[in-house]
Amino acid sequence: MLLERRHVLSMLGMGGLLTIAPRASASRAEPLTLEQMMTRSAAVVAATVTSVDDRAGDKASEPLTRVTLDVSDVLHGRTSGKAKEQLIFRGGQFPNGETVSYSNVIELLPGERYILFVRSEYYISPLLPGSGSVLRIATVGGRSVVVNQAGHGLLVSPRHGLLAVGAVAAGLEARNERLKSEPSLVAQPEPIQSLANLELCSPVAGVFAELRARSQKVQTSLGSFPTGPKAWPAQFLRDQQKMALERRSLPTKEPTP
Amino acid sequence: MMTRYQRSAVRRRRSGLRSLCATTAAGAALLGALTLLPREARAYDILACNGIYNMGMRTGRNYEIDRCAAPVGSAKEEAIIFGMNGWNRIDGMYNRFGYMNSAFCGILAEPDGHWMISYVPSNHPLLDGNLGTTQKYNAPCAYPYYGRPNEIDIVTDQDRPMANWDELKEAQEDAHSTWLHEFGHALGLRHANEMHEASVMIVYDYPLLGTYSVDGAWGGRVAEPLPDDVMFATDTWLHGDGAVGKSDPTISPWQLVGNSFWGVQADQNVNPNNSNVLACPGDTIPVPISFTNIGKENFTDWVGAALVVSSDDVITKWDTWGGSGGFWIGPGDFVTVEWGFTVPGLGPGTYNIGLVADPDNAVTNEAYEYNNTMRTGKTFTVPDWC
Repeated sequence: MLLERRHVLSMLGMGGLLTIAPRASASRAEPLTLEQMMTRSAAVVAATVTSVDDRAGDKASEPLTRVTLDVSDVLHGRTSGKAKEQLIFRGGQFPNGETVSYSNVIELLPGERYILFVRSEYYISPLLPGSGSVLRIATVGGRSVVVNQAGHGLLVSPRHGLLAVGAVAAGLEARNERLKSEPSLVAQPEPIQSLANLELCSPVAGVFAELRARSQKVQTSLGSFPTGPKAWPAQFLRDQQKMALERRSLPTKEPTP
Repeated sequence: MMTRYQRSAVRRRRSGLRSLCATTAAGAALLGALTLLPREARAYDILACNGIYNMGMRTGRNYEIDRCAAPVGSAKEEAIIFGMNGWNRIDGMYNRFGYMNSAFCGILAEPDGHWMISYVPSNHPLLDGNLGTTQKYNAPCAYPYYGRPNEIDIVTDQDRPMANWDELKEAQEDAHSTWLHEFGHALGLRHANEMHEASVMIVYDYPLLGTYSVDGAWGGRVAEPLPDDVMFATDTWLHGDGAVGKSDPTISPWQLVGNSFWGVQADQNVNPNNSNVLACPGDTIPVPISFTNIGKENFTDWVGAALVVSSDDVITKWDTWGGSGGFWIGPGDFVTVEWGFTVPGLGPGTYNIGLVADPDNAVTNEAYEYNNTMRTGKTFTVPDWC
């Protein structure tokens, strides 16, 4: 009986064409088009993360994280031309082991290959805001495909850019269980064992070609590949000193549920 | 970048191999029978240190509110408290968030022992182009601290619209929901990515925020965290580490996710601007619709759904029906079905096709009632010559 209920029932003139459901992230702001993302990017690159150093800050008061990239393809804009490119994020580890982190920084993992939308100027993250600025290249079922932050396979759409068509099938639980049993492990990439609609996912070369083609249409002043975060504005620092002097605590008040 | 920390994503597998078939009530042709592959869906995603969930607030904490940005009694203060109370009212979270009436202006981007909250301009360095930022200073990931937060400072964009909901029906970027989201980060939650998740931690939360209830009333403000957030709170309260396999505190909410916006036939259907068709009464218009059960339990029975037609943007169960049906899907399942919408007897004009789930309110254990109606994005025009 239970199995019989795993059905969709259509009635009263509703013919049914079922398809496996593709999904994509909703947005509360108007999502950026690929062209808009490129306009705001100094470069769009395909790169493998070779190392992540979260003790890269020069000052103990401001930890930085250095992500070293082996860039295989420059799909838009330009890089610095070095053999190894680096992205510097604010946040990381203090010498005493304490850390500072920011909620909007997307974690890049060593050994993983990504398509990254990199901006020229920033304070915290050199990647464009939004989850679409980091796409991952994964091998699933013997095929290399591009997946979004949710692990959904992507399809090139001439009109709309990249659409999510494949859902993550399995693999996360095993990773999590392993992390629990082997706590000394560093963060591991999420394995993707299979994708729904894998056959609809565009090949990586197709995604690259689409991004390159759109790059040709973008009118932009790209800026240079970032070398590091901008310094906190002087006014910001002065305000901090002023604030520290003005601060005084008043009696505690708890919000009423 | 918490690379030396264990990112422990606690996820629940909500679906297994599912078989779906479609039938018509009259036993008409089965037009498609496909298999939903098993897939993984995360219920919530938290930061952990050596497998221990400890990188968020585990005890009550009083924040200092920037009183230049959010004066006592102001709407901006109310939005902050709204976000705090959303979490505070969950069992096990009570008064996790508190605040002090400190007298200072601005916010410090450095560890100074003060847990601070402020509104800042859109171009503020701490926002870095986002609507809000939670900055966390955590202890080393080692005994006895295991990464516990030493200080958390939170800022949001001061230009977010406030609580005039008549103006916010389309905006979805208000200060209230932004604070609710950022306080989730303070508790140790990471962003959720799955669209069907019932969480305020989804980066962009439409359509979970701000939809119409079945009776057409605007009730979309998320007055409290959604079921996946409640599950996180309860798991961490009861078990300390958010471990999987615990009983689920939530009950079957469900959601209409979307329509062909997410369809593989996107080039034909994705653009609402191109979806308007000419149709006369009696004609049938194909409407791809997606359903998901974002809850953790099976439905107790078939859930009804109706395609309706509306001359305005407000979809209600009182609109003219163009067909109805029912579906049954397990927790976390997600299906798309293309239904034929039969144009009812209408005068000339352009109309929205809407979808109403559970129009009879037969599902009594929904945790969230305000996601049962939606516009499909499809319109049609009845011409004069029909």
